[in-house]
Amino acid sequence: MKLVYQNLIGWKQKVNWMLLLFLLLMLDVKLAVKLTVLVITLLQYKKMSFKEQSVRNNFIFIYH
Amino acid sequence: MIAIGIINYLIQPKTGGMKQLLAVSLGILLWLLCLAAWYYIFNVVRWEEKGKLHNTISVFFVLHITVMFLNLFRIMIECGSLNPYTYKGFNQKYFISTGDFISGVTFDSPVTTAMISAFAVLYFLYRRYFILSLLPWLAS
Repeated sequence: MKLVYQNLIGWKQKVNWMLLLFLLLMLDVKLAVKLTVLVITLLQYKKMSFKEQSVRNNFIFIYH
Repeated sequence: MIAIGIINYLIQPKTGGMKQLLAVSLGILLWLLCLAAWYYIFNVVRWEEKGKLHNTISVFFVLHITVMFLNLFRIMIECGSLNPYTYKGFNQKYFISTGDFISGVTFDSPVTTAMISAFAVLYFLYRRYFILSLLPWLAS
């Protein structure tokens, strides 16, 4: 049980939840939802920080 | 695309009115929406860890497939049949059009659902997750 919990915690840290939420709501069929999520995302965009990796990904089209 | 919309509106003064202006404005708004979404995703992809990006997109596709399966199960329960594609009840409401009633996580039309599923298949094949790449096929 403890292992499962640790795995869940590990997964939680390995997912960009903001991006996931953005994808889910931005692709929603309703325009009002799209607009709302876009405004909220862009408003809090400056607060985002990618502390774990400060180096830009070089090849953005190829992921290995 | 925005420029084409504006030029198209300006060179047709006879048909241009408030309704057309509203349609053009909404079209432009949608393209601006796409631009802003692209800008956000571009920057996230640029700076975020690759592992996190992979996990995020995998979770997104798995959620999409899960919603598709839930929709399929709902239809199966409604029909009382394991294969609604052969069920001719309800005046053939489902039958061969069952796929039209299966929506994914976007709740959009089946074409959008199929497009996202196709991307999921390609992505999982590329990542060599062969079992996961089969799931969108099974759901649709």
